Amino acid sequence: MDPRIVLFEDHLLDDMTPISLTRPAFAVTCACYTLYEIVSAAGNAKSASGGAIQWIVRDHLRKIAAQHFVQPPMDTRGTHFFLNASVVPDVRYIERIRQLWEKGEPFVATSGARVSAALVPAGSPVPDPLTSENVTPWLLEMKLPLMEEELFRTFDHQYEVIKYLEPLYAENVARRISGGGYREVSPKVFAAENVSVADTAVFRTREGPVVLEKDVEVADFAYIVGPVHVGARTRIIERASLKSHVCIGETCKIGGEVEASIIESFTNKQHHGFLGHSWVGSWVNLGAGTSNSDLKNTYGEVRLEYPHRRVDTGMQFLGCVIGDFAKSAINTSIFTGKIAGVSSMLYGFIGSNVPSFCNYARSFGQITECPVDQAVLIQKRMFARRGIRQTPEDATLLKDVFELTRSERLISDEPPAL
Amino acid sequence: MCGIFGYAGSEARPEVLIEGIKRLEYRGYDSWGLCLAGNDRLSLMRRVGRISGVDVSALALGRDGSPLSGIAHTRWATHGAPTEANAHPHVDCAGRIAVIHNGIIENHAALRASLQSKGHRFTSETDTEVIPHLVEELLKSESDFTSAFLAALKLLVGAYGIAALWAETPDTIYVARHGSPIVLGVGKSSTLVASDPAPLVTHTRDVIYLDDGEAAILHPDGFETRTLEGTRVSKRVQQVAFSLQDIERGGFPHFMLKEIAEQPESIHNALRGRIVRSEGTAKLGGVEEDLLRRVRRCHIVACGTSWNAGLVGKYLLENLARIPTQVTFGAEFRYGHPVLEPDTLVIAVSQSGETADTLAAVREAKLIGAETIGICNVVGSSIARECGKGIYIHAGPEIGVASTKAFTSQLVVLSLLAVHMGRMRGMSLRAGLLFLDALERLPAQAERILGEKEQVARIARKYAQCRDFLYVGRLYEYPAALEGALKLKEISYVHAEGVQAAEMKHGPIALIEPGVPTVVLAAQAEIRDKMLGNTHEILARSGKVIAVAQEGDEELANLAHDTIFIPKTLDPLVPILSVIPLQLLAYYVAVERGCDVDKPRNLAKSVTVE
Repeated sequence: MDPRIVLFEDHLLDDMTPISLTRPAFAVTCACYTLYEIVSAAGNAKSASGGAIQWIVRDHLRKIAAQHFVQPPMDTRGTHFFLNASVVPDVRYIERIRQLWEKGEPFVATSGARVSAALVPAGSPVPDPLTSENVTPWLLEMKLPLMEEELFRTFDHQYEVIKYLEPLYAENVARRISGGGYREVSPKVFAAENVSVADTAVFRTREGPVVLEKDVEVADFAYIVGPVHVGARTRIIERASLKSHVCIGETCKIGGEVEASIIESFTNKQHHGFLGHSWVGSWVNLGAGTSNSDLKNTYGEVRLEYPHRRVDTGMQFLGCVIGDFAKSAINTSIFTGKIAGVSSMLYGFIGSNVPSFCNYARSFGQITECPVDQAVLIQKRMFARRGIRQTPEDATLLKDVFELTRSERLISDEPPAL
Repeated sequence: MCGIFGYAGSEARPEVLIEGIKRLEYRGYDSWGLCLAGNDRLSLMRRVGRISGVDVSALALGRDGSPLSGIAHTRWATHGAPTEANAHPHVDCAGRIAVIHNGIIENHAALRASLQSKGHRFTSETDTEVIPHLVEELLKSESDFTSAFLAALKLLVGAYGIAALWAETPDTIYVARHGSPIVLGVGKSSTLVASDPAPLVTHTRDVIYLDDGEAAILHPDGFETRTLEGTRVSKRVQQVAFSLQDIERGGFPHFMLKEIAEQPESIHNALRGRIVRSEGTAKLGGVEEDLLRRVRRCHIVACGTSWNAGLVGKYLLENLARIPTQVTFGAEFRYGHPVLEPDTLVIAVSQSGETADTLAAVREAKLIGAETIGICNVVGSSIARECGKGIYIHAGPEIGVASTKAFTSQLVVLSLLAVHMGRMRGMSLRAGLLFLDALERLPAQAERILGEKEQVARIARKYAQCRDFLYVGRLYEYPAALEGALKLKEISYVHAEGVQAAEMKHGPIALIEPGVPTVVLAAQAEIRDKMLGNTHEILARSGKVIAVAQEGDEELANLAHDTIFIPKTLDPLVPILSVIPLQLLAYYVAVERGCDVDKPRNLAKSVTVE
């Protein structure tokens, strides 16, 4: 029998801000997969009712997630496989989930401070409603046998999405290619239908393949070093340079230099400028000349700043994390290991983290709050350019995130500095 | 541990009730109270301190109101200091329901909040006070008092032995048990209830022991017993055959042995309501989370057995929470010009909470400006008050001069503190859960060790006439070695030394000779092979070895002259188990040598002088 899987968000997502503010944790791309795709691949995973995978997300994401992921009515009769939505999308987990399901022995597994997975036997009393707040306590209080090994790793901090990119890439991209639907248009360059590649484009695939999804267009003089995955309908513009371990979502426009980075769908980085070891959300526009640093002048380990603490990342190369709907002005320079929030506006030098809904021109002496109504208006305009109708849920999401991040803006009271 | 007593019958006078709880004073003695029912009303009296002369005029039930039943309670504080307001009985808003209780209601805070939102007014800090208010609330919807009483019991989480009066039925006592003992006494024209048979035997020797999940309704001319669901159950009447003194000691020849035997329960009580499995951590209500989060160093101050517990605490805090920790004798701290860095937490450990040197150390620490918390057994004691915050070990009164159950309860509380602070500092959820699981297994494991006490007694008789003992251990078992040696010294007057095993070669090994037995503590997995090496060194010098080993360690058992096995647990928790056979060893050696176990020479239970 195919596994019945429930993907659950837990209450420990603060350190994934801003990535997880606007999307379920299972919808974060890393190494050309999201966890939702991995779980879907775990053998036609179904809900008890025979429908799609069940999921539990934070309240503010429930309606918007339902627009993108089928949500059958919650039905937890029978044995269920609960998987934390923050588990990294590693294709090796597909087999692991199947094995554990077929073994059928109840367990609970942890990763760091979190419950990563549990096989809950039939007949277990289930809280009603089952929420992201109560699911982990419930799984722990059942006293299921505790797994000795760390079966599934989780993203606990936003920088880990970048950290896992390179280690996961080879096997993940191999799995994607083996799924079929591609032509090998040149050695280790795999193209889905209706892909257009200019004659002058150059591919270097000795270190890994290049995968171009449906309707991708690669313009003249593009230089692509694998492994790279480009999502459907994305344009790689003239002279773009994608240099290994790059993941680009659907309907993006990518130019300039990109290295070891993830760019989610509907984002534009059309012009020159360097993006390295970074994660960029959806509906982001990076202005011409926007560049980030991914290496400190000291060549030392990059340390991230969080409210009231700093975290050593263990990474020598780490760029930036830019939340959904953020925009950067021309020639914006983002320092090593900085985080820019949802709907933030970046100008000049970005030398510290930028709260969500913040007009950040610190080097010009201006840091102001972006009104949420303006953010909603910009969202509507951007959607229209891509032929997408803004729904009330889209606008509500921004308004909810605006409220959720209010405290970020309150503590960002450092004096502006040149 | 508290004592409860109730009497339904024509002799329900204050003097009878006071005599009853005086016989239970060994169960608790910080405050007391009683309540009489009759003439459609209740009359209540509560006092702080030991039970003494009573002005019974304060207990008038009105003209022509002779009491038809009464309940009385002697308290050992767990929730709230020993004050008149916190003393039992507790009553509902209307003063028509009175309750006495022995145990801990774990969900009292949630119940209290719910009842307060419905308009109930509380006058004490106790967990018990929720019970009369809960019954009062349920009386609005239930058909009769018995139904409301049983319905209330079903909402309580924790342990209880309860007796209740209702002014409308003044000749009736409502009783229930879950986790705390309750005994009924069946007299000719009276029915009684108590925490144990001690106060019953002057009235009757016919008793009935209630089981967990059972309730009883007592009248002067009889009783009925029910399950909490209301189903009637029949109970067997038993005859009490032992003396009053035996009852007070629970049938044990000495308080020390009784208290050693109580450790499964006292360990359980130290854990009760403090494990938060849903977060893989502990809940310690008496200390602010912010304080524990910002602490960068700990400094434990204590004396005697508590100092030995503190040394285990140092290893726990450094290992689990990665917090540098220092342990200092109370007197050394006071006069040693201590250096305390910012964000240092001073932890004062004392069973009685009155230890003069530790109390002085706390005052010194406060003068320096450090944050202090107390780990004490006696609620409202001087150290507890001086610290203002802390964690009670809930071991119940310890009468034997040689501390036993307080030591293991101190270790349990220090373990909870360490895992909680560890989880705040990056200890993984899995490690936290494993630790909590191991803690929860301790009461049953302690019970298994106690089941082998005859074997320990046999070993004690074999070595009882030796003049010197050595106790050796490493890491967590080093403080256990110190404690084992201290117990032997205290009660049997035999010279004993606790030695860090690796230090043997730096001097103490010169003491090894055929007439000097060495107790080798080797139950920790991590350093077991090192202890095996120590064992060989001792044997090579013709020393006798008594090993305390993990179950199944046949290699060590084959080497040692005598072996006591303890169940497998995590290394940091080993001393909680390994000290139990050492307590028994000291006890049986003392008995064999004819020593006064409960009152050893030159010693006092609580050292209140410098």
